Amino acid sequence: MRVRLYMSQDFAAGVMFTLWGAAGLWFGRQYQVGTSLEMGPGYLPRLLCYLLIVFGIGIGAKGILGAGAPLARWHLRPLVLVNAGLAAFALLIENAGLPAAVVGTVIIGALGGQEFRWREITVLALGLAAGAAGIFVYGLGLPMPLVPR
Amino acid sequence: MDILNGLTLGLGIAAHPSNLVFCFIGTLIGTLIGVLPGIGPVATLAMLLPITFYLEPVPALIMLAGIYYGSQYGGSTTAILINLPGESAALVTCLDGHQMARKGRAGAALAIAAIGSFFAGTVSTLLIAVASPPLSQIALEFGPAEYFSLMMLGLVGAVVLAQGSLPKAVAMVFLGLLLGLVGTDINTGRLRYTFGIPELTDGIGFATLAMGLFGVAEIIANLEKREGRSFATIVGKLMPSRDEFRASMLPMLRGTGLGSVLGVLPGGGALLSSFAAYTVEKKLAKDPTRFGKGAIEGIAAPEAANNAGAQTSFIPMLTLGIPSNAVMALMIGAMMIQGIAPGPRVMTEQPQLFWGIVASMWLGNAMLVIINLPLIGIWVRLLQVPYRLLFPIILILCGIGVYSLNNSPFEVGLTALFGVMGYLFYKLGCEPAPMLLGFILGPLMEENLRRALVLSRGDPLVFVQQPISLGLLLVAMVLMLLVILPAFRKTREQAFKEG
Repeated sequence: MRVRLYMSQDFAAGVMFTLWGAAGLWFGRQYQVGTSLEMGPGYLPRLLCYLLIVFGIGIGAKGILGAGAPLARWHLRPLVLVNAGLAAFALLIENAGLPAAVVGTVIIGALGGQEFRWREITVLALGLAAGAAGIFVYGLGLPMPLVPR
Repeated sequence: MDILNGLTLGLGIAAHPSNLVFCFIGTLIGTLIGVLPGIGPVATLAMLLPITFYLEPVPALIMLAGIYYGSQYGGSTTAILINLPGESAALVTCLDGHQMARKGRAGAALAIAAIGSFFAGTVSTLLIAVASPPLSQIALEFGPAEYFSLMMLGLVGAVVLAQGSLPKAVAMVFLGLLLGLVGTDINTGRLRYTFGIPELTDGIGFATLAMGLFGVAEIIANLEKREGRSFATIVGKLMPSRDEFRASMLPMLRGTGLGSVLGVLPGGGALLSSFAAYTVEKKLAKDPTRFGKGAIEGIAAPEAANNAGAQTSFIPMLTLGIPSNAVMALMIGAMMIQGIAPGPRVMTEQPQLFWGIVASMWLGNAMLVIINLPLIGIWVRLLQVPYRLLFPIILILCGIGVYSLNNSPFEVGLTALFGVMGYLFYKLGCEPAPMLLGFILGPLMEENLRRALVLSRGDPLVFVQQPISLGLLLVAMVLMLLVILPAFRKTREQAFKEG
């Protein structure tokens, strides 16, 4: 029974909010708080962090006591690969240029899908690379490198 | 300027060929993303924001507005034909729309949805024209205290009207406010939560956050669902029968009224309007059991309501400069890119912009009827494109969109981080919309709070001594108390559960 309780959505959400509040307090520990009338840079952050912790504990408690929705299974494959695709774009855009970044992002991102067909995705990636260069760089004149800088 | 003169001026501007073209492009893109499940107006606007930099202010805003209300039309097509909400506000349209499609009445359902949307669009356009001038007159008198109280009301509204658990919505607002503080503190110049990263000194970009939470996270959430679709390709006759038409008249009217009111509310807009309209129709119906089995009222009312709500949500944005939802926040972003300070002065200083947008909405709605009904075949074919080909396209558009904002690879990486965060929220049942509103309003609230306190020489009573500010705070308090009442809570939960 105990294991199932820990899996409730509310409990996990409560933990998350509490952690956000705690992290905010820790990283903001050096900001001056000031007074209500003369607020320092730390006044609002600290207030918000305390509120987050209070609500986090409350929501978490509700998750333990009440019968809320259970935490559904996590799908790591799309989560990792879709974001890795974006990260590839961030890395490639200035080091390898827009077309290479598009191809990299599309292929890595597409691997996160349920079905991956090499031929289809290769055609799509090349088409999008050409299309992106044509529309954004030649058409709209956005300042993006086409080749490595 | 009176309303008639304003509308004449606006029609002249909106009918200018280049503006017509951008209105058409906007409504076309809107329909496209409305039809395609897995990409909504928030992500699209965020993607297109950098491109508007290269346009004049009037066509840029006309186009962006067209995307929002256009997506409301497109969303119903997908809902009716394949029982998936193309746009979140079309969720309730699935219930009866797809049932009608399975009975071979898809054409009639589509036609009623489009006609209802057009009717609502026309009424709410007029409503914007009538309500905005006096509202902006009042808003000109607003000081920092009034603005602070107004935004407070906005945040409370966003929580009350949010879907799902209330405490989580409140916590999400706090989290949004906290993220909004990242960057340079305007009063002391001190850096907060920047971790020594120079890109963060100006704070987190709104488009970056919106695209991560709504664009990327949405893709991931879609990828874990199986691609099983119940497809109704036979559209059938577009003309609804006389009985169907008669049955939808009153629901359309009620939906328009309800949507117009709910759209103005903070946190409101299209989604809430359609849910509420469906609930009302079901309550009023002589035979509620027909709902969910292809009742035409269940299409007419929510479709009218979501379009009305989408359009009246422009009122607070245009008159007060305050966004009532994420789409409006992006519209404000677009204005600022153009060097226009949003607020009550826009109407008097930029009448051509204000009236041009208003008039373009009516023209855009007329275009949308044509885009959506005679051209329905194109959208049906588009729906046959599998998601495994669509999502890499959406992903790459997100990447290019974020990068082109500031030519910053760092921000693309940040979007990926927010994508992970968005998926976490999705798994934990936390709605990202209130957080986004908190994120936008946070810095504005802090600024106005401090300014009000400076003006009153540190007297916090200033917020309750000025009548407008007091009134706004009282409304916020009543809302908060209402939420605690069990009876209201039940209604609220029910309104969202119909779907």
